[in-house]
Amino acid sequence: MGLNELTIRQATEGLKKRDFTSRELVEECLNHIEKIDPQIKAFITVTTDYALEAANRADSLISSEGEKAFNKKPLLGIPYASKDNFCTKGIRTTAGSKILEDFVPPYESTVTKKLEEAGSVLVGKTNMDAFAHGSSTEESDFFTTKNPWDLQRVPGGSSGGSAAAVISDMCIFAIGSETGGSIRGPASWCGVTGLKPTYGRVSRYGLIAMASSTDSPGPITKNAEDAALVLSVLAGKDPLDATSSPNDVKDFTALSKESLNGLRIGKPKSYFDLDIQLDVRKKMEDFLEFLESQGAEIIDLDLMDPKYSIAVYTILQRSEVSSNLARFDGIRFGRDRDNFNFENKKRMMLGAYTLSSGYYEAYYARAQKVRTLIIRDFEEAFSKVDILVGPSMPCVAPELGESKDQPMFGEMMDVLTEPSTIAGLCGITVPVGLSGQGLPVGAQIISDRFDEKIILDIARYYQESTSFHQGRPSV
Amino acid sequence: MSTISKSTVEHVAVLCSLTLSEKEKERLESMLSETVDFIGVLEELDTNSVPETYQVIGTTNVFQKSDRVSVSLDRKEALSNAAKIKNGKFVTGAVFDR
Repeated sequence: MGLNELTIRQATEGLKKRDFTSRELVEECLNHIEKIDPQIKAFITVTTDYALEAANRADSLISSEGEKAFNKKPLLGIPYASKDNFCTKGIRTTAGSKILEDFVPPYESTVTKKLEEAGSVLVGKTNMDAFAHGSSTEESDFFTTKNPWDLQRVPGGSSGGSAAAVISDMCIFAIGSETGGSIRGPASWCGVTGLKPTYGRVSRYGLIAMASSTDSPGPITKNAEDAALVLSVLAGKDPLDATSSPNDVKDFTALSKESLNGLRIGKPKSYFDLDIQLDVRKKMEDFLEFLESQGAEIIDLDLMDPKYSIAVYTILQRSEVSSNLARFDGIRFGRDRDNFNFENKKRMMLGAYTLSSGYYEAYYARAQKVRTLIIRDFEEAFSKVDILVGPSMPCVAPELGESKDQPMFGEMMDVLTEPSTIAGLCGITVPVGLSGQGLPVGAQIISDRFDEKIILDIARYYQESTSFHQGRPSV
Repeated sequence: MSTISKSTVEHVAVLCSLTLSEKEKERLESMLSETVDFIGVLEELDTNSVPETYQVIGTTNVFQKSDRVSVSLDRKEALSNAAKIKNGKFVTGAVFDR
């Protein structure tokens, strides 16, 4: 087993025991990137020199302080990849767009700063749909990332580079961001674990904005235990992000579930009534059967039809995009506005339309009211059940090019994640097996705001009893 | 007839400060119409006495107080990504002749 194949927990144990150095661990990841990324194309920038220097620093600290070094720096010496929309000081940050092709941020995002302070080592910046406008990475202005399970298929998006990098072991973990389904979608299609924290749980400072009222940074990892470790580092109030939450940060890593006795699981009828691919449906049934066999009670629920959430999301996200992208004037940074791709233009145009005089009340204001109804609907659900379970995506990863000329492609793919994102809830996707074509299927577990602990515990419980999360493509 | 006309597309492009080709205008006319027709589904719901939610975790009136963290860029850093600089300042296009 190569060092690059380890989980965070395994790699940390090896570093503590001095079985290997951080330099060796980082070098194995970099070598693997050099070997397979020409096929996968997960990385926009590989930060070789920076990573080797950081690994050397980690090794010095481990030799001088021993295991104690890990108390203050829980991710010491661990190589990770960041989606290319987190500003990294002195390291090019493109958001997948030609507009920012030469942009070198003069400041650091809170997420990458916290990861650096925790000792982890950035090996590169991963591909994404430009400004996160897409669900396949086909809207990246540089190239399309390939799904490591089948190079003729998309990895999902917008955090597609991060998910592809994790499943093909080019890093130990990665960071993504979700606005509508951009963590859970690609994690599901690539067969990895993806956590979308509660809105406000993780600071957005230095994250190049898509839709500010739903943008949520989160980890993409090889299992739920690692997701908990990374969330413990990232979570918390940030004075630089007024929307970050002052709520207490629990210790997400402490396992408290020994059985699922008494757990009430909501099965939303409106989610399962959708046009879900047969293989996905079958794997979901197996997943629910497992949870039930462990003592959980499955309760059928009526939730609002997700079509309303898609409409709300479409209006709010486009409106916020039109406002957020207005700052790109080609004067202070970036190139001029002719460098936006068609997808970016289309989203800004719809947003400006729904915000414009005469249409504001009919679209934007009404969408914010329906958002209230969706939140109330979830609140009622959580008075009856502890968590909700459903497929993460309605199908397995589509072939390259399938999204072409479908203006609502992203929304149709994200139909099962958008309701929870517009309500600010947290959710996690875990791999639950392969389809008949050998493609990963993901199931999502959703809980109420600030209750990441329960979904991490259940995901971890599931992964301790099954091995789907250990499956790897033969790249 | 499509919901969004070509003249609406041209008007919104001005609001967005975007230059569009004829082909882009045509595509946007049909794609935006399709999307606007779809989002009309919200009219099915009664929202008369429902308040709007702008912030999903209920955070309001957050000000920087004693925990104020000063983050600032010096002039060199602030100008480091500028397309054009003159005398230590950004060069912008004229705005009054638009």
